[in-house]
Amino acid sequence: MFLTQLQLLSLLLVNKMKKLPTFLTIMLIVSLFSFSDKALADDYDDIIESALLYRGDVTSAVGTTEGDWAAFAYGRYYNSEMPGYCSALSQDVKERYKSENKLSAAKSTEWHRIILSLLANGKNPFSFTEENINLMADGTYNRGYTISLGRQGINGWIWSLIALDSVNTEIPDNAYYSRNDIIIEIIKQQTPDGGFALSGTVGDIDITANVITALAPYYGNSALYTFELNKTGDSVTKSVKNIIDEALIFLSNSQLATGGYSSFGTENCESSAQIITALCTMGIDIYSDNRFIKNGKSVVDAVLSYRNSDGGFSHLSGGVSSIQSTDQAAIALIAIDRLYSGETPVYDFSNLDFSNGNPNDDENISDNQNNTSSTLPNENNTNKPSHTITSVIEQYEPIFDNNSDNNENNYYSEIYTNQINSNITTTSVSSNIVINSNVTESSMKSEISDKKSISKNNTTTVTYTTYVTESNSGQENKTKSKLPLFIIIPTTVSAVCGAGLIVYQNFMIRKEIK
Amino acid sequence: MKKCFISFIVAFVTLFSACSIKSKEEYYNYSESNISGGDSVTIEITCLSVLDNMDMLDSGLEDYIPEDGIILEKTEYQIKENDTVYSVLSRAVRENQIQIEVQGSEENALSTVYVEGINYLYEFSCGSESGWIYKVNDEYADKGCDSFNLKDGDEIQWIYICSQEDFNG
Repeated sequence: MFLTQLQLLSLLLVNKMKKLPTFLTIMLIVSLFSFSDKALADDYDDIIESALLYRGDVTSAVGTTEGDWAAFAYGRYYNSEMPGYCSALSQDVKERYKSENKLSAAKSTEWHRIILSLLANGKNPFSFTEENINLMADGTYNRGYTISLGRQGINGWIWSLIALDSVNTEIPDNAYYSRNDIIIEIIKQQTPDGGFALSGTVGDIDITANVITALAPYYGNSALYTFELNKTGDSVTKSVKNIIDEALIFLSNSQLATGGYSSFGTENCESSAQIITALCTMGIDIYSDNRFIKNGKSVVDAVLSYRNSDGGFSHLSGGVSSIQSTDQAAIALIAIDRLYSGETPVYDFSNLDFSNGNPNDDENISDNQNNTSSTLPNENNTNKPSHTITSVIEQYEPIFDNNSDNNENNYYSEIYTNQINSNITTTSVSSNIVINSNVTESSMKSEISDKKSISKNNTTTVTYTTYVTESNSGQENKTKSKLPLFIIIPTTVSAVCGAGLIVYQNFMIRKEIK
Repeated sequence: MKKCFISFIVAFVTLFSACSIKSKEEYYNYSESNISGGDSVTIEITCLSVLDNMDMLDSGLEDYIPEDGIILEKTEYQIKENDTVYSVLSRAVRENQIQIEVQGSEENALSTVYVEGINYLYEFSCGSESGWIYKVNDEYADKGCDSFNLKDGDEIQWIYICSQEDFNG
């Protein structure tokens, strides 16, 4: 687009036609519009950079909420390590790992936050420090061997999923939790209004936003989950898409006239920031999606209203800058930047090559496969919490008519359960989705197979879940954004004007020759 | 030689007088109750909700739960002008030798003092909704305990809750 402008302008300069002013004026006006999207990104650069400057060097707060999120934002934005951060974090983690509770007795989110800040600063969470600590295993899929991910409530489940999917984590067979286990624990906690909360039956904005961020990678997945809702006891069957759609309705309805959001009755910066991060992760156009515009105000308008002249953001309107608000606002703006420049969502580092959990980093590449020291399953651990997924499973009738004459994809799913009879009960979800033979391979997307095998009392049960994601036009790549209209229209107009100019020139040249 | 000896004595005496040697009881019985009479507040620390939720309690903590759920019964303290809920709590736990763990205001993202644990009871020690809250005059405050300035007659309660219902109740 930029190039088109240059070419056209150079044509104008070379051209000595006198009858051009009209064209020139149109071109200049149109160019101004076309530059607007770039100007938008530039504006946020200043704001993000001044926010990061406000936070400054947070190395002294390494390994805590106060330090890690700022380091995450810094690393994510500049694509380079915050000086001294990783070595400080390395010391902190090694020190804490000496104690029995390691990073925390109750909070697995300590692992999740550190994993994300490590990734943003270019380090490998599967093998951190010279002791090759596998933070991912200890904090996510094997956490259950120590204590439940849910010990601290829904946040433990939410952030474990975000951490797992931040890179292409391959969960091993002997892991405590599968991705499905975590997804089910999250969606079971949905409140009747469609949202999610730490406690109670009314949805909370920040928690709902974070749930959407965590579940976003599964939006296109057609698998159905049948489960019992914690809050009401009702048994429901939904896909992740259903859940997210309901949560988005809840969020849309909760938006205030300022374009912002409240939590616990107080309108604040962080709630708006978390909404932005969630919507951007979903690839939703926050500037023009009517669900999230109220009175002409977007969520972005709201979050920017908390910005102070010192570069920080305040918690409440007109308040002093606070650490938490600044961190969350910075991450939200980075999320917007990434969406509109076609980059992965802000917590998505899947472009980093951690194949099979191993780094592609030269210094760590040797011995990593067998050398990770994660918390291994201990059969003698009498404190093992009971691992239950209380899913009520039913057999399904075919969803679509298999005898249909049209070429649509027809499929049905058969869902059944295996139960292990022991003092630990596990209900597993297995589904086979059988595809009608009319469907060609090219219309199929990826096939994800989640295999878990549990051995207990000489009985081994293997459960597997197979999903098929049908290719869906417009949904293929969630990280690609739809180009907003203010980019498309000026581009088209410039192109048309440029073509018109060339034709006009040709016409005038011929006229002169004659 | 004599000069050396004298300077040694002088140094020793100076050092000795600069130190304030107390017995353990004297140290913990530090109390400002003899300051200019006038303003005072009361403070109590309880964990009654845990008694109803012993099954959710982290193993090993049973020994630290008082049978009646009262960690510190209502006690009166004199206050000065700039005393806060946190400063009174600090004094109360020190005087009564109650374990406490606190995260300083520079250490957390909200820039307030956060009481992580009292009497070995911490956030999530008794289930996913458990933790410490405080009330003044039977009302919850929406500010950090080090920002809450006290006035004469205020009644502080530090309560360990195990669920949302305890919070609303």
